[in-house]
Amino acid sequence: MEAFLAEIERRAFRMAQLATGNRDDALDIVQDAMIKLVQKYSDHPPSSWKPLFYSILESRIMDWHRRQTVRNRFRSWLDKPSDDEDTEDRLEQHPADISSFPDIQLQDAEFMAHLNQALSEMPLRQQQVFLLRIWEGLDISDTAKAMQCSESSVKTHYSRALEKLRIALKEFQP
Amino acid sequence: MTIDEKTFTERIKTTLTDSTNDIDADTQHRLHAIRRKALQQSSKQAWWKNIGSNTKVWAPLAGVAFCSVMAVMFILPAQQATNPAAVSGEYTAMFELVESPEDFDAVTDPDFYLWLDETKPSPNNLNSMNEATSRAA
Repeated sequence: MEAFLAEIERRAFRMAQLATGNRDDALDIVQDAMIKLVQKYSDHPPSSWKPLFYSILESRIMDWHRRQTVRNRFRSWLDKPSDDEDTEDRLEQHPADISSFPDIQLQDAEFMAHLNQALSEMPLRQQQVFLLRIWEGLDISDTAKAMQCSESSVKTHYSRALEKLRIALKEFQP
Repeated sequence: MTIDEKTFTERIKTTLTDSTNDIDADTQHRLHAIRRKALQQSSKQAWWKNIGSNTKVWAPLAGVAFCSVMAVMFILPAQQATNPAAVSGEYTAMFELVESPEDFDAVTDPDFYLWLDETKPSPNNLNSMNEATSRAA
């Protein structure tokens, strides 16, 4: 279990950071996911840990966004009362902020910056499906389990995410 | 997946993986602490899981506990009941009088009972009782 957690902790942190745009919140989410995995599923076969862990992580990220939505609505009522109802789904449009990644120092920093920007602007579920498929190497079935959605939804989210990245990173493609 | 797409996704994957190497020291330290905290939950839970699932551990413990309860409930009270020390010394002296066949004459003597009424038995005068009994015999 320790080797598994050590292997995924950085990627899990980056995924949570991309989803939240906040380092401390990302660390809290990773902590919750790790503790729940250990408490509930440590006796499961190691091959099932990865989809289970990312399922918990996704659930925590979604919870975080729901809380943010409620918090933002509450703030908007206090700060600027308005009759217009905010019907936008915040889960689909979370804030993008490249400055939340100050520790990224890559040779290809520009590509990295654009990639982060594009991923951050992406709807949350597209972003998470894309990262699970590309980065974690989960197959469609495991991604569907982790995201608690159908396999066809995974395919749709993935293709849309890829298309958006192609457009966003057009200048970097050969 | 076309070759271009594969190259594109590979580059994204490499870039994302490289970004994890640039996580600052403080964040890495916190991630390490989080991992240790999670694993401590595992070791805390292991004890209870073993008790719950491993009969090799809890069966002997349950047996010892059961035997202890039985001993407290039955054996110790029975020992106390048969222990001569548990009965007061006053009554022991009287029983000895009755039990002893040599002192049977004293027990049947009415003067003995008159003397016994006048004398309050207590641990201090048990010896004098015994002496008086032997004298009467």
